[in-house]
Amino acid sequence: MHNAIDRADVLKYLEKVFPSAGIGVDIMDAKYNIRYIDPCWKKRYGDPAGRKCYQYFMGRKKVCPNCGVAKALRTKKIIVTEEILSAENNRPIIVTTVPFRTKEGEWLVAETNVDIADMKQAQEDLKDSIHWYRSLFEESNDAIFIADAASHMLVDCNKKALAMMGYSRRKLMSMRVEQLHPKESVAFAMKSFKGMVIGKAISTETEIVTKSGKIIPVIITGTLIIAHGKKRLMGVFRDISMRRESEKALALTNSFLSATIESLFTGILVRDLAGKAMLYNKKFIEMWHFPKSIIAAKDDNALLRFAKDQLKDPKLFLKKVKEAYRNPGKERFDILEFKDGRVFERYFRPQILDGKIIGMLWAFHDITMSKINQDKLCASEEKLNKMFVNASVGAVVVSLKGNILLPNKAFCDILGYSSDELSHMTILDITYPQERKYTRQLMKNLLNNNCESFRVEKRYVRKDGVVRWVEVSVSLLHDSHGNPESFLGQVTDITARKQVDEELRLSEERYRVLSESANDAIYMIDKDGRIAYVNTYAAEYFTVNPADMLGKPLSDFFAPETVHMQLREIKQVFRTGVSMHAIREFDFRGQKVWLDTRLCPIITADGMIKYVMGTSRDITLLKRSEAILKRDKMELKELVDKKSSELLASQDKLNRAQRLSDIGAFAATVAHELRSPLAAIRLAAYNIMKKSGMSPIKGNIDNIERKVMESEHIIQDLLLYASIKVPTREPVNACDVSDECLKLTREIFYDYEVEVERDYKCSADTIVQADPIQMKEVFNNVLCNAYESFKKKKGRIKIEIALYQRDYLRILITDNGQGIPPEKMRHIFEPFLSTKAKGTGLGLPVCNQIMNLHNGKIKISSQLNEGTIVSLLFPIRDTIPGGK
Amino acid sequence: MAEKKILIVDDDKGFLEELKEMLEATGYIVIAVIDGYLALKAAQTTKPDLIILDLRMQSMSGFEVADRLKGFAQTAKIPIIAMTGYYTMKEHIWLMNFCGIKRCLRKPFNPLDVITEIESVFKEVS
Repeated sequence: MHNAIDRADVLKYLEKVFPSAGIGVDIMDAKYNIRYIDPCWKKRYGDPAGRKCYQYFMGRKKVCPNCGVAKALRTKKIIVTEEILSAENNRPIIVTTVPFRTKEGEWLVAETNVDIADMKQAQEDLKDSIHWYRSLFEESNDAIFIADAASHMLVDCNKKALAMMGYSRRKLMSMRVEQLHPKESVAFAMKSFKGMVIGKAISTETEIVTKSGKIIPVIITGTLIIAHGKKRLMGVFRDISMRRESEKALALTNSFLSATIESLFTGILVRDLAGKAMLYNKKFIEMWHFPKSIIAAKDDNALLRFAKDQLKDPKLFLKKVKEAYRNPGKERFDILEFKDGRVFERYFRPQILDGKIIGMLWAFHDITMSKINQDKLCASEEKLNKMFVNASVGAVVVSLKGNILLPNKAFCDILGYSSDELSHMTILDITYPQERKYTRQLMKNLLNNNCESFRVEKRYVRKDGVVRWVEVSVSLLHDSHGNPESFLGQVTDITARKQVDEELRLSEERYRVLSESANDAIYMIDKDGRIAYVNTYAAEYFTVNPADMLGKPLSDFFAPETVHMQLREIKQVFRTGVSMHAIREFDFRGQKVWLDTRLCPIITADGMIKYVMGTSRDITLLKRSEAILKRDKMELKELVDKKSSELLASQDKLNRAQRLSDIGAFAATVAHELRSPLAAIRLAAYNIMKKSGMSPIKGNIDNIERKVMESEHIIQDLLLYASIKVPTREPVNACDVSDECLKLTREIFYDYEVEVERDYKCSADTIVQADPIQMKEVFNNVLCNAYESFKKKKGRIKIEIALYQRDYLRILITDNGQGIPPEKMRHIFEPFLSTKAKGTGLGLPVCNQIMNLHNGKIKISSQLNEGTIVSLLFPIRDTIPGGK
Repeated sequence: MAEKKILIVDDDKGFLEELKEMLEATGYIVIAVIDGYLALKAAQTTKPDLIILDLRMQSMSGFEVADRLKGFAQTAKIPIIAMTGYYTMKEHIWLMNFCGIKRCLRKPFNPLDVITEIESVFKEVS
């Protein structure tokens, strides 16, 4: 520009420019002197005369740091600088410094200023604006794409766009608008695009597809912008997937809400503040019986009228409605009673949105049934309560701590306390002391959920101190939240049952003992033929423990044939229910065994035969005995017959003895009767003698005396004969007796001359079991007879004593007296037929009797004038009468 | 020495008379009764020193009389001599042990035996 610049051109230029621009021009030289000043500057700042430019314009004392003058002069180029006019509020200006050479060759600068404040401002504003719009563009939450309207190429996009699409900027800038959309949406999108191109500002909903293939619903707002002469389309893509989700959710919620509202049992009516019905559900229509016409008419007043007419108190209803309108902020609740007996609950609350009341909501609930049910429930509860109180089973509600809360009457009766007394007591107070710990444990268990309920037998102590057994069933009562609230106990007095149980136990014990101590086999068989019970005796038979036999089949213990027979019989009892008795022979372990068995059905309480009980007695020995007995029967019969005849013989003898004893009693009386007079006679004789004292009558008295004595002797003999009793046996030596009697007889017959020969073969064997007195009687009798047979008081007697035929002792007394005539011999042993002048004739009969009673014999043989032999046989031993 | 009273009891009138005569001749005072009832009454009223009692009597036997005499305090201690034509061993034991009759005479007895017995009884008592 240096020399090329023509001064004249410059000046011309400057002259043209400056005034039109309103810009002053100043010329400075190299020394910063102001050579020319624009008149406007002069006007403004005054005369610069002598002042340097930096002084004048800038107010500096030195050269401006970036002085354009210096620079221009140096470089000889046009310098454009920006300066701040400190003298004018720091107004920004652009200073154009044009160096030029004068004709003289002096370099000068011409400076012009352009106020760029506005420009600057504008620049700033623009910068700001650009920055702001750029920020807007970039930071927008929506993706913004700018595409060329003609080529459809993307020329710009914001951060969000990149993020949304997933491409790099480079890639995206190489794409066309069509590529943003999925195939399905491209056509539609491009249609909108074209629309936007021709100036229609369109907002469309479509889809884009990202780099990863994800399809995002978007709403695109597009505008046409012309920049740099080019038609560009700016599209703001808003991701509406969230909105879509929300819309879907909302739709879902709405449908859900709608369904809910419709399914409610509550009639809902929502009105706006003006009273217009906004929302109501089917139930609302149904419950108020609104006809379709009224609904269709959408006449709210008609609705209200129709409604109020159904109520018992329509005026009150309307009043409440009006109140609600007046003060919708207040929640209300009341009960509507209908003429037809229905009852509704009415609930009112305001509809609030963002803290403001925007409407009114009524909810109606038909509680007619509910009320009825409630009444029923009350009645039911009442009944239940009565039942609880009056139940025959004791019931009590107890707090978790054990305090008695609610005893019923039966419970009070069991305990003997009044309800009031019990309410001050705990359950442990009435529990038997030894069981308190256990009771506490059970309650704790129940609380800890270890069990749902428990049943226990325990003891209570009544008020009067008596202990009762009870069965208690305890469960938990819960409150409405499901938490345990109290215990419920049901109590039954089982004292009686316990006693019965005890008695039953005792009874069972008795039976058990009975069964166990029996000497027979006792067993029980079940329907399957298995052993249900067996007593010790039976088990011992098989040499096992009773326990080892339980549950086993009979076939374990018996042979198959035996089992078959047993089972047949047992099954019969099961079938018929009739007891069976049988005596059977078994083969048991190789031996024949006889059992006497009884089978009886055991019938349970329900009438079913559960078991068959059997008792078996081993009668093997008995049977054997029977057999033996049968064999010996004949022998026994013979034996019995023989013995019978012997017995009859003895009986005869006994009868005779009896007869004799009868005779004895008779004789006694007779004897006594006779003796009394005899005694009197004797006394009288004595008295006579005493009185008279004369010897002449002495002979007579002597006779009387003698005769009395004779009579007495006769009586004695009679008595003797009559009173001969069963001999009292003792060991008697026959020889001694013989000698003794001989001596006596000799004394009686003192004046007789009799030779006695004794031939005794006496030894220990000649001792006989005999009655000594009776034996003596016999001897005496026989010897006396012998003596009396000697007519001339002279004779000979021989006595022989010896064993005879091993079992008898024979005594032979032989005399050589006058003998006994044959005709007398026949009756010799018959009483009262004596041949003697004196004598009772009882002698020999007495002897005969005595001998018979001794099981012996007396035999007499005699020859007239030759003598008599008397044979006495005494048995040595006490043998059975009749023989060996 | 006071005279001894003897009560004699027997239902045989003849015998009673003879015995009474005999005893009176011996020197005793004799009260004679013919049956048991009278005997009891007499025993109580006359308080004899000795009773001679026949055992076999019609209305009340001598055993019963002896038994009843035992029952009365006044008569219990009076010694008794029994008489009889016949008595069994059983009766004998019973007499000895239960009736306290130590002596018994068997009819027909020697009259002198009676005297002896009576004297021995009196000797015993004194």
